[in-house]
Amino acid sequence: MIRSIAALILASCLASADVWTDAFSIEKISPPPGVDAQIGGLATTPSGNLAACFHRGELFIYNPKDDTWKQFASGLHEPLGILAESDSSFLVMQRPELTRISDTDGDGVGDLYQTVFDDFGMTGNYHEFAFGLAQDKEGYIYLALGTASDGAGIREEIRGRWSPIGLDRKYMLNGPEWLKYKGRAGRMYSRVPYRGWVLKVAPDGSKWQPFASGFRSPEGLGFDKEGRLYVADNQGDWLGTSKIFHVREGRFYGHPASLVWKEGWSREPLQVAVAELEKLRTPAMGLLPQGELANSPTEPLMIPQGVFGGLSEQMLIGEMNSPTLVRFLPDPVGEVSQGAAIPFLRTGALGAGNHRMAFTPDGSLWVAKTHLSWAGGEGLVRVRLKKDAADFIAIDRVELTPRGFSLGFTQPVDPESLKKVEITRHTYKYHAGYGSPKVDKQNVAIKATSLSAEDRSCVINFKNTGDLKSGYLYTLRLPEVRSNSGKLLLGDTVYYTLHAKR
Amino acid sequence: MVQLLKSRIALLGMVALLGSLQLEAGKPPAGFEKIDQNIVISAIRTQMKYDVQSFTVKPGAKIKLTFRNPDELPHNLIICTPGTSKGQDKGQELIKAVLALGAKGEKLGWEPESHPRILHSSGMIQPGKETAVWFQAPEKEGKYPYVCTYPGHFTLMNGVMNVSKRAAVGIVRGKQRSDPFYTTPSMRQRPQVRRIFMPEAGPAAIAVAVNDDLHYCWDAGECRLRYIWKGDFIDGWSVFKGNGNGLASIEGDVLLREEANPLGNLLSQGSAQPKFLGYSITNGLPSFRWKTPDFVVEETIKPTADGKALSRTFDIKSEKGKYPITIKFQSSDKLSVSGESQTIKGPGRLTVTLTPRHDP
Repeated sequence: MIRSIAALILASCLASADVWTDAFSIEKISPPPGVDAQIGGLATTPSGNLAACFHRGELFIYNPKDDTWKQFASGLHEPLGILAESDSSFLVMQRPELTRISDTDGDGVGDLYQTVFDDFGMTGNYHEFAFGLAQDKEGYIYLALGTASDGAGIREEIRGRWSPIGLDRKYMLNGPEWLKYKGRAGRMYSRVPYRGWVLKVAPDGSKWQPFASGFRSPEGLGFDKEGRLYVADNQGDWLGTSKIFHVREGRFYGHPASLVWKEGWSREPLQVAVAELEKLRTPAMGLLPQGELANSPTEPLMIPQGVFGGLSEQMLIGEMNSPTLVRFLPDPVGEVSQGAAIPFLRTGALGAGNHRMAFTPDGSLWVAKTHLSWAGGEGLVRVRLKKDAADFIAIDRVELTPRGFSLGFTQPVDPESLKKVEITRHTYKYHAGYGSPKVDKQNVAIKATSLSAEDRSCVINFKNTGDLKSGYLYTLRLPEVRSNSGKLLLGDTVYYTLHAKR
Repeated sequence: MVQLLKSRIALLGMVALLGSLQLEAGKPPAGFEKIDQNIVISAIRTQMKYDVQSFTVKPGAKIKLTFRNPDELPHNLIICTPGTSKGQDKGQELIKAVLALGAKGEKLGWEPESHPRILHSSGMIQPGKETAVWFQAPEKEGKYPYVCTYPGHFTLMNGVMNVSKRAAVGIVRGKQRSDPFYTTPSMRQRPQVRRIFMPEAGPAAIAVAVNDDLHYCWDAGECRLRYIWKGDFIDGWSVFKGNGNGLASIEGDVLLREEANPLGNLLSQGSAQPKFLGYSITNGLPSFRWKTPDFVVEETIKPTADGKALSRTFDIKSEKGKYPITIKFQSSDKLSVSGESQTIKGPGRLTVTLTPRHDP
């Protein structure tokens, strides 16, 4: 899991001038003193402050105007998500429950910890993280439950119903014997409800429903303006590479362990034929190639309007393992969700561990970091577009065409700089094994590259339209592409996931 | 100058009175040229602990005790008489007297002059310094606690000198703390409510430090108290250090393990699993709330006025359940409950006191 590509990226950053820090200022914020600075959850409050919950359970409010931290709550169990309902009431996703913490006596410190939702199971396995949070237009809360890892067994005392489907419970217990049996448990397993699911909960906890299944370690959730829910998941068993999903109610997204909690399901998921699972699953909107773009993607978050120049309303995704974020441009074809992933802020100045993000009304992007036992970072980073850098050039549109791709740019492109464009395609295995090599990697021959619309639109046609294949990831490399004014392209690789042709 | 001389004379007088000699390292006083035992104790950097948890000496043995302070805070080491608790109390009367010193404490090196429980003292040792104390071990066998009297230090920074004819002489090293945050204000906060993986409890456990000495574990999955312990709170490093694959350890003696919810009768009437509702915090202490189809229960555990025992209150509310409620508490050999089985006529409030028993 800890296959760091940080060194590689760092080296490539050092080799050339850093186009990212030319356009963006990246500033480290000092964490509150005496606190383990791994941040699990981050939210903007209505008054423009930040609420951050830390690894050891503290919730602090950060005031960006005077650079101060004030403690609001403490004692939470590995909080990994937060929403600010007001400046004095927060919803926090902690390991055992969704909790509302509020200040009822007005002294600025939370004194009421109400359990909003805890109707899900815990075996005590460390990998049963509880991730969140996202809220839809009607106010419903969405959270995601990680599956357990065979890196450990379960505790004697568990919370919730035990599923009898799978290895007998007596062999599942943590301890010296576990090594003998773990091979039969599944690499990641879901034996209490609703591990590997996204759940939808009423904000007062009065009702809830299992929303979608098939997740492994669904690290982050976010909505776009149109109300579409996106969830990132991490490479591992059944995930040849990390993914970003467009999640719709009732769908299954590929990791079979969670199926035991599907209504009417009675079979051992590990014994279901891959072909059947393939039919059941909705493929990922985006494949994020391991070792190149993201190894542990985190939270999707939309860029507000007018903040990062031409990138308004676009999706950012955090990445734990390497010093980068990911920008994602959906390109749905009919009902099929697909699109393009592009590196964003891929610079050593950002650092790794990018777990939660928030924007404040002043236009700052705040990136909160953690690592736990994996590669990552600590603390809080503030990213701002530099005043004189609004004319940066980046890709703001990627569309599949019947003959190749059409790309949009935020600035006119220097036609001369388009000569080195290269395209390859590959796919990944869908199997119980951990990760996947690149499968069937091919170069794609380009027939022609042409500019139009005042040099801000570039059409790339393939020599052979048979090269457009469903289930493949297309890597478009655009080295040294620059604007007419000589600025280098921010994010010069596009990773397009193709399921449906146009 | 005169002032300085006076205070030095006073110090010498005190040293003579106490019968121990604190001199420059390497210069033993008369009669201590040959010693029976050499003990070296060091403060552990950033951990608020002595590296030696206990040491054993023979009655009347001549001892050289070296105290080193590599920490960034000043520390001392004062060996106390066993007191009424037979050495179990970390020199509590002395600590009280230290706290009563108030503003003048700093000048006195947090050492109340001629306090009856002081046997030997290192004096306040500044960061990076060390000292040696020569003394003759007491003739009386027993446990002699040693503590750092710098305010706030004694709860963690303490140990025991065993004086014994039969036990083997030597030292026992304390557990090394790996947690770099172990002594931070956030971790030392008292009272403290901390949700963390705990031993002998379900995965939704909550550890509560009521004060410096008494703590309990409440299970939010089962909505009940699991156990009470005395000593230091918890070491959560095995959980905090990485991804949570571990349990916190209890840093004290468990006084009581409660095997079942004391309101079992209420649960059987409701015939459903209790549902956890959360908690409110008053003066740092939680009141846990849970419900059954018929009842809402609030449980609060507070220290008694002297801080030596716990007061446990159930506040039971209901609109439907008017029947009598039987509450069954258990005592243990280490904790007595003020009333083991009680019945209340219907919803209402009931308080019992849980008192740690002294060692026989």
